[in-house]
Amino acid sequence: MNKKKKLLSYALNFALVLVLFLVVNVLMAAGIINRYYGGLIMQVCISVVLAVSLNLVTGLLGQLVLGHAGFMSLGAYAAALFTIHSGMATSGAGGVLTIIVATLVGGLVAAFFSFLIGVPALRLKGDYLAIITLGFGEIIRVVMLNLEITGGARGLAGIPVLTNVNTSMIVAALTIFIIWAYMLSRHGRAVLAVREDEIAAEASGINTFRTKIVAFVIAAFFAGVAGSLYAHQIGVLSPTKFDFNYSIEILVMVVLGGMGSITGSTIAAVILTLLPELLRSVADYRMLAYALILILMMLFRPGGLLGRSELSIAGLGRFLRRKLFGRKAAAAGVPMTAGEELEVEAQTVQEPAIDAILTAEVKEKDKPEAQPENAGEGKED
Amino acid sequence: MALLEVKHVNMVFGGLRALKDVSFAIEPGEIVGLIGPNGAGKTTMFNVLTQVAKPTEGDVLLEGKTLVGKKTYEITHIGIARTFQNIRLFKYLSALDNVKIAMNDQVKYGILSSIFRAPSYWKGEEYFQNRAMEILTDCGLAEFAEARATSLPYGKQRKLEIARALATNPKILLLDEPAAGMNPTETHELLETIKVIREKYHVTILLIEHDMSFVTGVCERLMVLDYGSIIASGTPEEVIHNPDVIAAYLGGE
Repeated sequence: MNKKKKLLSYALNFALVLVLFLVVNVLMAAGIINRYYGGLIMQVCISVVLAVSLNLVTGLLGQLVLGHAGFMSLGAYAAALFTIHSGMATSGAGGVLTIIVATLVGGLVAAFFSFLIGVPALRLKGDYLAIITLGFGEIIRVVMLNLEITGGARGLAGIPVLTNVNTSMIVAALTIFIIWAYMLSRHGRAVLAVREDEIAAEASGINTFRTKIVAFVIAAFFAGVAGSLYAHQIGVLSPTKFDFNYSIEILVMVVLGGMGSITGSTIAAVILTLLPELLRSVADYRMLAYALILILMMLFRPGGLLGRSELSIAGLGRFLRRKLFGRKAAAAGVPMTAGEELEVEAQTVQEPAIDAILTAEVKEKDKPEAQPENAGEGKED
Repeated sequence: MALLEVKHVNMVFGGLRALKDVSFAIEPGEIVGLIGPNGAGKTTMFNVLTQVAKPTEGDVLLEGKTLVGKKTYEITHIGIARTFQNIRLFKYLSALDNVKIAMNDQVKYGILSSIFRAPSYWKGEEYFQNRAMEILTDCGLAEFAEARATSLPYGKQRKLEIARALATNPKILLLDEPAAGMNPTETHELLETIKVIREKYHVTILLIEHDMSFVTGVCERLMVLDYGSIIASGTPEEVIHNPDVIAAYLGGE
């Protein structure tokens, strides 16, 4: 019944990701995706990991964090130093193992530091948390700039290039899947409760502090993972890359996609990473166009591209069904049953909300022809 | 033994003594009303019971164990649930999720279980689903399960808050002005709901309310708070005719 349908939807989404993966690989083999496009795909995947993880804290947990690039740089340096000094293989199958271990190291280091600053910082709210994380990001940058082991202002060079299109795509898909799976569980509901109303959450028996710390640490872990991917893609690290502006750039992706929408963050990350590249032809006006698009976006869709809702196969199916048959049925005067009416109403009510998939998931009596529920992991590219 | 005991509680905010040496006890299964003029300290009393505010002096005991110094969510786990005077629902979530959140710690599957969708995850989610629907049904909200909390009519939102509090498996339920702002039909409906949940969930209820017909209709015992002190306690009949209470409400010599 319900569980079966969900498993089917997981399989469907997994199949979609697999198809995407195969398509990219075929295109690479055919030479249509060259080194330049390959590099773009890696950049996009790194942005997706960053945006989706920041969305967990800022969009879903509702805590404004301005130091995401700081956690990314921690992960980047930790992973790069690990690869350089561990002496593990840097090519062939050994290289794959190296990047897996290095990426985990990067993620864990970022997670560890996020825990250290999270414990005092998450007792604060709103602006204060933003300022603390902003300060933390800057501290990291300055420390990296002055440490001997990170190469200081010269940067850290000679990192083996281990990230390729496939690793970055797999990591992006895994990130989306893990955060999505986390959100559709009792842990995720606790996260949403904290965003909605902390006092009520606490009164409902939610340990809000623990909920915040866990989400914060998970987000930092993935920022570190993204850092590792970046370090092993470029081969050179310089502290200036991870400045305040970069944190803001990631935040813009989250806001533009819709605070609290995982698919929204994904789509926005793709668009905002590709946009500067697409605008290369009008090089002089590139930043102007970029800014203009952002302003227009905020004017006409202040809630972001997707608002709080998620893009899903089931949602798409419902939307099309309503567009194609809904009006016709209404025009022909076909009376709706009470159940149907309620369902339609419930759908329209939920569509703009993040809980669209949460509730769609648990819908007990979906119409028989309804498509399987979404898993949201199929849009990393 | 009394279920809830309040012993010599004093609560001081700066120069204001919001509660003055308040003591009372509530027996299991009672429905007790806490009434009093505005500013008498009723909500402060609730805040002390749930440890949102720590009492300056005194002790609060549930089944003989002190609650002072515990965190609010711990109090909820121990068995005190509350609703709020100004509705505090999880606005953008469905009614069903509102209730599920309150049951969050009744099945403890871990983070890895949810990421890998382990059997414990499915079992836990099934429990949440069934139990939440059961509670919503008992509160007359089953048909609104999928609707967003803010889209419910006012009276239903109040009921949803009660459903959410009930979902924490409380021993005692604190309702802060459950009938405030309701029309007579809604108030009557609420009255029925409270009777139903009391039968079925064997929960003790302490409620603050200004609507006297509601209070006398549902409560077996009333306590009157005025300027931070309990000035009267007894059956609704006794309390309403108590000269001190009349003086507190209407002003006296």
